[in-house]
Parts: sequence; C-alpha cells; structure tokens
Amino acid sequence: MEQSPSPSMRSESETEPGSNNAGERGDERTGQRERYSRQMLFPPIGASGQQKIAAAIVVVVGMGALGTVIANHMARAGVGKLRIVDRDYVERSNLQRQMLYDEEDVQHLRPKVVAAERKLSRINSDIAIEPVVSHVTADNAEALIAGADLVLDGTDNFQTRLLLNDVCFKLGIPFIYGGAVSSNGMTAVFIPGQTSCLRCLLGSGDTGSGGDTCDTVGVISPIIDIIASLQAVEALKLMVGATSATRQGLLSLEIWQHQMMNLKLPPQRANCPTCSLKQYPTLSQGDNEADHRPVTLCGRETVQIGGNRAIDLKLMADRLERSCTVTRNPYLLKAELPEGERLVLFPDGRVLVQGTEDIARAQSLYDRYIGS
Amino acid sequence: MGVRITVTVPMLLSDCTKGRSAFELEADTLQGALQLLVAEYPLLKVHLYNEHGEVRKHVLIYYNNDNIAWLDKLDIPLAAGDKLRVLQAVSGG
Repeated sequence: MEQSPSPSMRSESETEPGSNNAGERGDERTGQRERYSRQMLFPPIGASGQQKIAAAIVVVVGMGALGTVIANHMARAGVGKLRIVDRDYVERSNLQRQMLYDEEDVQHLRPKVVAAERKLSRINSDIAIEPVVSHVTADNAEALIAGADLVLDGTDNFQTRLLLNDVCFKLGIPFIYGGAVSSNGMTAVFIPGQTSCLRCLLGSGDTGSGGDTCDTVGVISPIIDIIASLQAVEALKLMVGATSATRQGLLSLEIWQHQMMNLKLPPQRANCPTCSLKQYPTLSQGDNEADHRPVTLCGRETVQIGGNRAIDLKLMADRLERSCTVTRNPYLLKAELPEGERLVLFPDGRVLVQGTEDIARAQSLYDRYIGS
Repeated sequence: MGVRITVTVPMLLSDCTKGRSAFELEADTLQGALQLLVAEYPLLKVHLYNEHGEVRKHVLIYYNNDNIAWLDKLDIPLAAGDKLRVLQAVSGG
C-alpha cells in the first residue's frame, strides 16, 4: 500500500509515552528522530515509513562490493534487523571497492561479515546486525532467509543467485538482483506472485557458466555503488509499501560509454520450475554432495574444498605449525605451505587452497595437510 | 536494400566488433539481421551461441523491448529505427 505522511502521523510519533522512563524514552525518540530526520522528511517515507523500516528484517547475501554498499544503506536507513552473510575474509584486492573494509581488516584476516558488523555497528548502534560467516548452500539457505521481509543480492555468481531465487519464491520473499562487472551493471526486482523470476530471465540450462566476473575482467568502483544503490532504493520502496513506485523491468547500465537500457522482464514461463511449477530445483535436487565438491573460484587462483565436517582450528594450528607458517583468528586459520600454496581453513569445514586453479593439485594438498 | 537498424553490444565484446559497441546493420527481417550480425562479426558468434546454435544462457538478445527468446518467430520484418541489443547477464558482485 502506498504511504504518504500526514500531519497526524507525524504528531503521533512525536508524542512522548507516559511512563516512569518517559524522559529516557523521550531522549531515545529524539535521537531517533534526529538520526532519520532527513529520510523522514522525504514524503514517500515519512514517520510511518520510518517505523516500517525499523520493523523490517533484511538479509544481504554476499558482502563483497555490492553487499557492502547495500548494507551501508540499510544500516544508515535504520532497518530493524540486518542479517549479513558471506563466506570470505577481507583481502587487499577488495579495498578498491568494498567500502566497509580497511587495511586493518586485511591485516587481521577478518571475515567480511565480522569486519562489516564492526563498521556498521559504529554507524548505527540502534539496529540489530547479525553476521553469518557461511557459504550459502541448499542445506542452509532456507534457514538463513526464513523470516526476512526481503533479500538483497550481493553475490558474485549465478549458482548462488538461482539458489536464493528458489528460496525466495518458495517462501514468498522479494529478491532484488544486482550484478556488476567491468563498467557494466544490471538490476531487477523479482517479487513472488507478481513478477517472473531470475530463472525465467537466465533460462534453466546449466549454471556453471556465468559470464565474465570481476576477477577475470575487473570492475570499477562507481558501477558497484550505482547498482547497489539502485537495489537499496527498491528495498526502501518495498519496506515502506510503495509498491506502485517499484521499478519494473531489467535495468542495464554501462557507465564508461554511457548506455542505459530499461528492458522488459521476461513473462513468467509456463514451464519455469521455480515460479510456475514450484519445484525449486536447487533445493529439491537433494544433491548435498554438490555443495562440498571442490570448485575453482574463477580468476582467483583458488580452489574451495570441503564443508561437510567441522574443523577445530586450534587442533589444526597445532598440527600445521610443524611444517607451515600459521596465522589464526577466531574465524579462520591461514597456513603458508612449503610447496608455495596457502590453505585457509574455516570452522564450518571449508578449505580454500590458494595459489592454484588445478583441482587435482588442490585435492592432493588438502589430503596431505587436512586429511580425507 | 534492407532496413537500417542499430545494434549495440557490451563493451566487453567490442573487440569482436571492430572496437565498436554501437553500429548499424541493414537487413529485411530480424532473422536476417541476426544472421548478418555473426556473418559480419564472426568472432562474436562464439560469445552469443553455443555449439548447438542456441543462444548462450547468460546472453540476452533484445529486439527492441523483447528478448528474442520470448518471440514465437524471428521472421519479423524490420522497421527503420529498430534496435537489436546484445547484453550479457552480469554475475559479478
């Protein structure tokens, strides 16, 4: 429902509640009013919209370039509960565009969501921020998203996006897609029951080939900010119920040579296994093995292995220190191998083998140092 | 003489189209324009189509405001000013 502020709404929110803690609550309310005053002055949001934003639960999946910009907007806007999910830790090559991170995060090998939570909680201590260090899989995706009012896409691959698309359509949660690479970006809003879905846009073929990535052809920071901000504004509209203002279509931007296209989203395909047949193939395949299979992280000279059994970081540190240089924090362990490659171990069982894209070589190092 | 239409391709593919990301083609039908596009720019073909001649999954080819994948037929007469736009679904983030 479209909301517009009215004098009565404003005066209602400004009324102090009568209680013993009235003074304290009054201070808190004054602080809240001040913090969000410019946003509340924007008529389509107003005081009632602000209350809706404060009551919203938003999940941002992927806290890389897009995710950090999105989460920044969400935290500053006063989203009541913000769950941020990412599997990676901060690396130096992230700092050019992943705007919540700094050199200290790189030095401390902080997981992205941990670094983001530290930063976001200093920006807005009034909201609940829930960082989740995890690889999103068919096993955990529903639990990560359940209860959300909307899901914002900060991921970097179509495989995870199609998984999120399935979960969102199964649970009836709007999914705001965004992607950026080079000087190109795209974004679209998918709403279960109202629009077709991401699978209709991409087709239902294999998900392995996802086109160019930031790690193969690079990316410039402004396209990230633009696409992520477009995602954020659609999120604000959905949170305040401004459904008639929701942008329709697929927006495609190229900012180096200045091309902007707003194209039609596909019609809902009658045979779409997600939005028509409601089969949600990424969830119903029952192929948990697929989540744990070694995968090359394209362009990053990294192979990811494992994830099906927990790793005790302390135990592994004791073992690996005999032959490797080990760095450890509560979230991960990094070992420099005598062979030249590096292993990064996570408590959930994932291991990154850095310095190779050869799966056989990575598996061999995994077996040698972690054991199978 | 066919009808002159505008074609745009992503900047990342412009090395297949003589460095240009926007250019013109002359054809009578949409089908003809699609054939001419890869005939004139053969390097583009492998980026747009798989070995079975199907449009690659992450490639979106729009004829004006419609993805050609949604059209019942491609034998559509072109009109002056029509646009053929090649996009790649963007996965980075």
